[in-house]
Amino acid sequence: MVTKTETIAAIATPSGTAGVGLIRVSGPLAPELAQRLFRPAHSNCTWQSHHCYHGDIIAADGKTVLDEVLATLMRKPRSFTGEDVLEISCHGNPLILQNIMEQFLALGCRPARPGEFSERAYLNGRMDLSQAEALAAMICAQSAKALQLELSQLKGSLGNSIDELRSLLIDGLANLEAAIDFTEDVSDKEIPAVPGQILQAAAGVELLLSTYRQARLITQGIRVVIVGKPNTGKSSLLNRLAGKKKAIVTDIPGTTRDLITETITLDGISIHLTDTAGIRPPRDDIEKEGISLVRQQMEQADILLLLFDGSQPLTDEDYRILEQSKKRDCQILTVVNKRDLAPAWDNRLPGHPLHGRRLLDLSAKFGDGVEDLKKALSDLAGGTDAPAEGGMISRLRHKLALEKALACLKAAQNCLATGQSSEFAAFELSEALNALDEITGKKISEDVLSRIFSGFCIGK
Amino acid sequence: MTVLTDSYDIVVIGGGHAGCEAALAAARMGARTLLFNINLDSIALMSCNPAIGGLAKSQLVKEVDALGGEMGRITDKTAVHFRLLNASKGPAVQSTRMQCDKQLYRLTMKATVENQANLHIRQAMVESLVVEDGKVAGVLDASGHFYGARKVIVTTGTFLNGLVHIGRSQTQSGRAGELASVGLANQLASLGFDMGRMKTGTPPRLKASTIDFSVLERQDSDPDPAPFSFTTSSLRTERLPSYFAATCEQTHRIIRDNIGQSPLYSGAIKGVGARYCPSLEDKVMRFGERTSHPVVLEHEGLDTQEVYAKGLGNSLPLELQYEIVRSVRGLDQAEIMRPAYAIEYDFVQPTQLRVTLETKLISGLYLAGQINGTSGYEEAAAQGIWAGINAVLALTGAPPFVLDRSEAYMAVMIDDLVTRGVDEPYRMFTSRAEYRLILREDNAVLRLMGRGCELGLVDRAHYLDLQNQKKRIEEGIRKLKSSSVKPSPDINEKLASLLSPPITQATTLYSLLKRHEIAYDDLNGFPGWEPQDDRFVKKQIEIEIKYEGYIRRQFEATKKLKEQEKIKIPADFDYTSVPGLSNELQAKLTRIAPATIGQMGRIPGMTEGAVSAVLIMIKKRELTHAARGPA
Repeated sequence: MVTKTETIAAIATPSGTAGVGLIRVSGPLAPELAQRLFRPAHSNCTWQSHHCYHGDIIAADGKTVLDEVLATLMRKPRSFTGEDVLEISCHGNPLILQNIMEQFLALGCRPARPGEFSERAYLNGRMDLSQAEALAAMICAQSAKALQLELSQLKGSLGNSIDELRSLLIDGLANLEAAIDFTEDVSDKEIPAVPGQILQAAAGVELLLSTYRQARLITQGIRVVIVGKPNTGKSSLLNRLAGKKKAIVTDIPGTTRDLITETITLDGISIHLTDTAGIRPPRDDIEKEGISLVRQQMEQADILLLLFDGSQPLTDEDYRILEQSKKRDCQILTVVNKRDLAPAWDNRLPGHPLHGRRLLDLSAKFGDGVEDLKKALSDLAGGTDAPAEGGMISRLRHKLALEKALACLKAAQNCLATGQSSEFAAFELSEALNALDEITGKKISEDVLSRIFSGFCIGK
Repeated sequence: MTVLTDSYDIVVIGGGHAGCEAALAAARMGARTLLFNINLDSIALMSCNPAIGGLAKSQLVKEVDALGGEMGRITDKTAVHFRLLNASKGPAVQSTRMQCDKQLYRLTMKATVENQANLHIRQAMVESLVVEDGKVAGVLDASGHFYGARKVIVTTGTFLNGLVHIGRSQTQSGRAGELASVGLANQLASLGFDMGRMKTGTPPRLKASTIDFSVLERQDSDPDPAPFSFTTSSLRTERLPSYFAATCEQTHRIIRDNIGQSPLYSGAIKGVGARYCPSLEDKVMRFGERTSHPVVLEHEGLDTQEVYAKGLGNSLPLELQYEIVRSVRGLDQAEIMRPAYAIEYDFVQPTQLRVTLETKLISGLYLAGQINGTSGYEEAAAQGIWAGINAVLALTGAPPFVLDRSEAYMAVMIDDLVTRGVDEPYRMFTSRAEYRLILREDNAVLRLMGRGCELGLVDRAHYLDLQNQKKRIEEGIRKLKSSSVKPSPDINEKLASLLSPPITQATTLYSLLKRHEIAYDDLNGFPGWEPQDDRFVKKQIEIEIKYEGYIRRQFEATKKLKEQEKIKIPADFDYTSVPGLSNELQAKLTRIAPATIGQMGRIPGMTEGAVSAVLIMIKKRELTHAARGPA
């Protein structure tokens, strides 16, 4: 069959001068171009797949040496795109890269569009949907932990977890279907009442779902919102954590009216800090607007950092903020600023509004206690935890699919527990499988029948 | 002198279960039809077991019947043992199975095809197809006589290069004692069809008078069976029981000690057998830990001593077959009337067919039944009627008759065949039907009779009857929804007697009928309840109310399928023009040429990405065509 698939080529390393540069070529022309443009330094170049050869790139005229390079041919289907792929590592001068690219283009390649290599990989089944998503996210991951998580997903950690769950469900389904389709061959005694696989799979789905919050924190970072009444030192604290002067600091209460944000990295996790206007009865419209923004921010925070002034007695404004924070379903850090000054209150006294609360004392002005705060933030974010081994879910799409699967699994358990005919539980299990397949883009097809035939003695 | 014009609209080669339905449908739709069989006495022979129906197969029988086919009707006329399988399970997986008097079945079908207007019957072996410009033009029989045909339907079952094995003996036969069809098989291969080889088998037939039934467990027919066909008003009254026996360790020892004599294990048989239908050798060798396998003895008819010994199928030499049979309790004196045997035969990989069952290679040529790699009378019949209808529709260029997977089991089967192909004999299972909760044997007429009527295969009167029943079902449901009972000691006592919890507030009869433990007639005496004398109507009311939630969800799930089936892939679509698609996928898609995006997605090994890419190309193409406007 004549193929019209185009061979694509691109410079894979970023533009600018660098030590090395990489050109990647994918498509049916790759092996032929390797032979044509590359002159091996040693005679033993057999273009064995996935072997790296040393030599020169020669221009189309057959004479001019363009660069001394390493060339690797990865033959289909064991390549990133599933096609024949040629990679040329050359010196990282943009002119060299451009020269080599031009040879490939002159010999029938077309410049690749952004993301086209990944697109081909997905198209040809080299990656499942969860891997393609992970690859896209990995390239723009902003913290070490996020990178690690996406990389593990790219390597198939989520896909593998899903496959294990699928396998359990297919076993469970095979048990149910055997009793339906082979009622004459398979006695009910051979079939467990509630296949243990359903319970096990439900537990597995729950486990995956439980990783969502942390994975989300890892990939998206943590939103820490600093709230407090005016002049408690919120902006000073932000500047201190950020290690630079981001917010204007004055002694005038109500200086900060807009939201000031800054992202820092703690133990490999992005922390998005937001400094807010001090909360008090507003003096003008701008302040009113600023304070209403604070309330919105409080709604979206992963961690609320409540800041009190330790050098002044607490006021009604402090108490109000304290009450508001209790209504929020997020983690709370209570921080007392200005410990460089004489303390005006002591929460160890019984009846104190902050009695029994763990307080972090610090001085935003001089930096004392700030390291403790960073550690507390990092602990709350789970920064020291390694990502769960069985894969984590960080995308809402995955979470919704898993929730749907879990609901179906529970329904299936219920069907069986209440003695309903097994085709209904089987229906729920197929629906659960469909939901799981939404994550990776796979299909059930013949799997169930194969399991039945391998496990039961069936036939006339 | 009158010149004999042997020229037909439709020629059907092979008068088995597929061929008879194909020929009848074609003739009834008005096409001048010719049906060939090598031997007219073996038209509609039940080559293996004496039963029609069974799990997932009964749905096929009912669907064939709803389209005006004959299998259900003739089964009803000739059945002598009735079972409702999975009776304790829900309606979607219940299946009727009927054992027939084999000879009566054959003769009744023979009379039906003989008496059908437009249908001609001929005893002859077709030697070859006559093909002109990639189009079928007729056939030649073994004597060299030419028959003109506009469409040809090949329904040759196991006859193509059939080879019967008993021990080391090999005989070219289409069925034990009958000629194999060699010329046609070889011609199909030389025309370029991708052919494969399969294996099936049949157990021994024993002489009833030599079986000690007194030591075997007897199974009687169900007392009050329902017929297959909506046209059947009464069933035969004669009944024949079945008996359960079992193999023992002695049986297994004989097999293990002599396994080298089985052509299955000696390497003589190359064809692929079905995993769901292993011979006794396979069961013993593969499930070594089992000390016993079930055997069921079924009478083959009212006027014969022959008894079908289900479970004893093997291909060992006759003397060993004797030892095996006689090792079974109750069979120690049994006489074998027909030995068990294995048979290998050629099939055509069905991915070479369009969804109408017409071959892609030769226009006007249709294949149905075992030649497509299926097994089973019911699977054959369903393909037969499907091919017959489509061949006739194609005569006038009318749109084809195609159902989707949410409409019928026959559509599930045919889609599986043409999309996935087969690597073992294909049998229908309920688990193959992803929408099985709405594809029940009880609602086959509701699903399909309208289509049968449109095609002219179903009597209008019957269809009107069905419309009336439909109306009564709807009214019945409405009535139950609008009638409610208030809690009272009387009512709750009644519920208690049905082992149902009491009610605490006004409750509709509809909600009560949703309860697992309550049947329609249990509500007798509740205010607003009305008797239903029509068994069908009553059952539909019960099912639609009890399983309303599941039925609704299943219909919901069909929406995605319907959307994908709506998007047609143009016949001339060039898969090599899809950027980035690997050569392997391009080749596979070009070969199978799926008709819709839905079908494409079901091809094994297809990726979601590839489906999206093709979808985008089709949309683009539509846009450019629209932009250009009509030529």
